[in-house]
Amino acid sequence: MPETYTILQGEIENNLQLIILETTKQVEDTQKVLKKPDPHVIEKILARDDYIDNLKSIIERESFYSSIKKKTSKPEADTMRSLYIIGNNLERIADFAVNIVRQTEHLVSNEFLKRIKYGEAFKEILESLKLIHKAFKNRDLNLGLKICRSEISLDNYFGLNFKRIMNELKAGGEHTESLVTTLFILQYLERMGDSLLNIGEAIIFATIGERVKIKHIESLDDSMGSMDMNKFLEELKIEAFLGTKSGCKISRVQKNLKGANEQPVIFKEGKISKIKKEKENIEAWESLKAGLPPKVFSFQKNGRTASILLEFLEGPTIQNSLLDPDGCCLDESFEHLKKILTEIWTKTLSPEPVCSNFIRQLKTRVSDIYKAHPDFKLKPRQIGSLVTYSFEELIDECEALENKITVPFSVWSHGDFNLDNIIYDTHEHRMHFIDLYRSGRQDYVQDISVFLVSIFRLPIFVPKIRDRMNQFTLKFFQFGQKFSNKNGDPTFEARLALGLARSFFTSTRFEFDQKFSQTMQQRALYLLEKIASHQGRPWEDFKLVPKVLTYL
Amino acid sequence: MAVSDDEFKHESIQDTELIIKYLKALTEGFQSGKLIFGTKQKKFILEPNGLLRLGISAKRKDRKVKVSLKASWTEGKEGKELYPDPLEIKAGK
Repeated sequence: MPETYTILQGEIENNLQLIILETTKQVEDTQKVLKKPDPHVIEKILARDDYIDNLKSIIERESFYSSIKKKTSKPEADTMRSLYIIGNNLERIADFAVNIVRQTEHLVSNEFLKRIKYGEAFKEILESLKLIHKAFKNRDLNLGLKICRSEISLDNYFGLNFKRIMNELKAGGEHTESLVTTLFILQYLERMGDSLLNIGEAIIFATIGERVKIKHIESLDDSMGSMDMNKFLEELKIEAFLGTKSGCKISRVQKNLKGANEQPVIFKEGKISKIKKEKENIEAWESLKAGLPPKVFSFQKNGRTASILLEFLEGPTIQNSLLDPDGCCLDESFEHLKKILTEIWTKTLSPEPVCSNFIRQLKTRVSDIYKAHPDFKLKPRQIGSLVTYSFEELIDECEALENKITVPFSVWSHGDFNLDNIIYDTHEHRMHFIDLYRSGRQDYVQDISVFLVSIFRLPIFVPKIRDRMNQFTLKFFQFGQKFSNKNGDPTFEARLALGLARSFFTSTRFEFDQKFSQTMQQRALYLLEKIASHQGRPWEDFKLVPKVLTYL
Repeated sequence: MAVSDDEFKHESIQDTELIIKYLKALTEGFQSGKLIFGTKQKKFILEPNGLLRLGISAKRKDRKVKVSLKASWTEGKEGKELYPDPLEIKAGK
């Protein structure tokens, strides 16, 4: 048991357990009423409300004022503060329960209650209530997160039922009053979810001593990841935001709106090996350049999985600056980026040979690409005496050639160097790298190729912005060329062609605009053909046509 | 891309070095009087001879440039050229 918990002994602990118990009863009875309204149960709920209010006041007084009365350590003060939040939110949940019961009076017929499956929402709420005491007592981050997650489930539950009721309302009919009442009931259940999120965050706060606001929950488990609809929706929202507004300005506003002393965090969970790797990579980045990666607040193993709580770094990404109508901060961030990369690459440059492995990476994605674009299965073509490769033949040929191209040195690389994984804080003039779980010693062309294609693949066709993107791409390419020249890497352009082909082709699996995805596929094929047709000549002579990097 | 039994379409990105392979292959086809288009499974053969109509056009607009080369002719009933004896053009004085 954590040391700080000892101060909870006695009255406060007792009251915490009591308020959880009474709130649970309140929620259970509310469910009963929604199943079958019973005046006796309704009366009990209304009477219990005052008792819960009283319990909250006691917890409030004990937790809040005890820190003022005597000198408490920070962990003790944190414990008290989170206890105060938990008590308050439990009381709110109990209030919502009373509100739900009151709504039932407006229903024209009790039969109407059977039309909605309330059981799902109550199950979620009751399960979370059950976890609160244990999560708080053991300072269990995973249980805290589980409680936070119930908010997502309840939001989804509300969203689905809201749509259903709105459709019924639009269709008209005689049930308008009951339908509106049902909407209110559902909304109170959804608000119980908001309170559970506050409780979960308070438990995390008590555990790590930082006031957190969960911004994003990521699952690094492959099987879970592919089914994570919430993550998908979240990403869609981000995409929509990027496509319409100036990220640079909006993020500043967001910063101002942020609660005082509130630390936004990202919670990631998944296989121990992956989470551990991310933690180690962050530590490696931190030792190379302090403040470049996000801070790690906690790392916990939990059976076969592990979780990590990371600082949520805010500020415009390079992507935001690139798409900003005025190109806000782009030059500044580019200069910063070049400086950091040169510093890291120079510092970590080691003459040990590595394999670039671009074609092997491409091969692992081919089936996903074909799923998205079955017509990309390229068969050999005959045009007069010329017979072109099938795609499989082409990549086999290129893989064999790739193995012959010497990579003269390795550097510490990001591994997923997309535009939006680079944040530039314009106020502090600091750069941050995020999503570091693929970092390691690699060919630096890995990062350059991923970065260049992450610009190209943005589906932005406004000439002014696209011109800027093209210019930026060419400048970054030149930066790579300069680094290769300075460090004696004569096969840079040949490897870059392979890395670009890999990224162009794998990017098509996220792009469903036929014309744009074909453009990327054709560039990948061109680059692979170019490599294949170069065989027999020295790789040092291979030259990339820079136009392959730009669009329009 | 083979669109139907007697249609073939191929689009790709090339550079000035790689495009030569394609142009050479076509030139050889005209020279030999046999142009083969298709995939391993399905191919069709064209036999250009005699008179051909050649259209060459070039265009530049808003930085976009297009050079088109179009050769067309009419075949006889069984895929042969319409006139049994092709016209012969010799350089005269």
